[in-house]
Amino acid sequence: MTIGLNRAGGPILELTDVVKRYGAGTTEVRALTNVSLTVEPGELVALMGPSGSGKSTLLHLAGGLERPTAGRVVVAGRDLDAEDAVGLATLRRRTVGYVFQRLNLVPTLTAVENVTLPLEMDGVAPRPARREAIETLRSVGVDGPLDRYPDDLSGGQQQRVAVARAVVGDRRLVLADEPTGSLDSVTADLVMELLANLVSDRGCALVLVTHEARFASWADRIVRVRDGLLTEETRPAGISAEIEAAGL
Amino acid sequence: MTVRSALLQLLDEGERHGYQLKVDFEARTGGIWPLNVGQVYTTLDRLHRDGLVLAEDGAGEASQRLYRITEDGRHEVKRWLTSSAVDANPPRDELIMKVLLAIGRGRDEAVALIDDQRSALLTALQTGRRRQRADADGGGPARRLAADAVLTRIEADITWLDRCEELLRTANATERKS
Repeated sequence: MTIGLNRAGGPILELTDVVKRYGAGTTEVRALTNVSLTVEPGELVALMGPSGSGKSTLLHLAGGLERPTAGRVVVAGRDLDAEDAVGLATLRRRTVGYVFQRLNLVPTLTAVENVTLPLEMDGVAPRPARREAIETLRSVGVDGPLDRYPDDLSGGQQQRVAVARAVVGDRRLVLADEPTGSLDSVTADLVMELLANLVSDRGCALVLVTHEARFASWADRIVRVRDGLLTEETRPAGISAEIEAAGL
Repeated sequence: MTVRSALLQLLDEGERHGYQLKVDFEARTGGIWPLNVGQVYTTLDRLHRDGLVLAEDGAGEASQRLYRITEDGRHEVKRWLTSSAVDANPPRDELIMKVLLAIGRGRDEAVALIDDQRSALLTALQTGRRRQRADADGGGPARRLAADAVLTRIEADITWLDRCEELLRTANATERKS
């Protein structure tokens, strides 16, 4: 089943007939079965489904963290299967940002150093890297505690820093795996709003894994994942009508 | 019954004309329950009949009747505000009824019905969220909270459908094993 809306400019992410299996023989587990998904720049796509449905596996494949057993994964026009380890690492660093449920900032680095890290790894000089990191942190609402360590920040502030780290350097694809899972409900709503605003303001694409309809509802498309298959897709009513009218 | 109590509550805050009551009710409830003005006057007639409000004809041809709460009406408002809104049984709900009855038609049919209902609810939730985002700076807290109440109920329905589906699938797997 192929899910996606074609627009001019080319998709940022394309998965075609992707299969992912773990183990072999009697212990083989089929995590994804012939999955195809296209995500365009400026789109927020939510992958929704019960635990173990394959949605996190799909996210790992999209970000090149795992390789598919079969099928193609293309990010920003580059086939991940054709990339060597260095090429894959560079593509991931420059194009793809990650936000996870567990707040995974480097504990020995300050907020601004955490955001500066991917830029410096990519060869940006320390001073411009720090300037860009501060600018990105401010754009996600982190202003005061720039030089504090993660342990001195609230869960919401830590997740904002993680979001800044995911988008800094103009990365165009953000993959978020239950990014609100460790936050209280009010903070979770604020972080979700921040992620949605990133898509509309920066024009990057966001693929969000969640099992909660509350957060999935922020998406332009909700794709349901069940037993390793993409089973259905929903969009807001107005959007569905526009798509039908455009004959897409 | 709820509209009757809500109108009486507004009159407890101060006397009003019928049309004013309609406008105030809609503004205070974020516009999620539009009221027919005829329904307002029918309700006021009943409240008047039951001695809970007084009606006073205004002077002049163009003036409207003014409604004022009575002491009995104030007691009624107090009773309504302090009574629990939780029913012993959930209110009759078309979604709950459809799903529960569909289970009798077989697991596959029930799961298909759950899928369809969930898709419709997700679409409604996405549409509502989009509207809420577009409306974020306007409308005031009543409108925002009213919209939030609607969306939270949709989320609850989706959560319940997820549980129904899980239960049906688990029961099916257990049957196959045994």
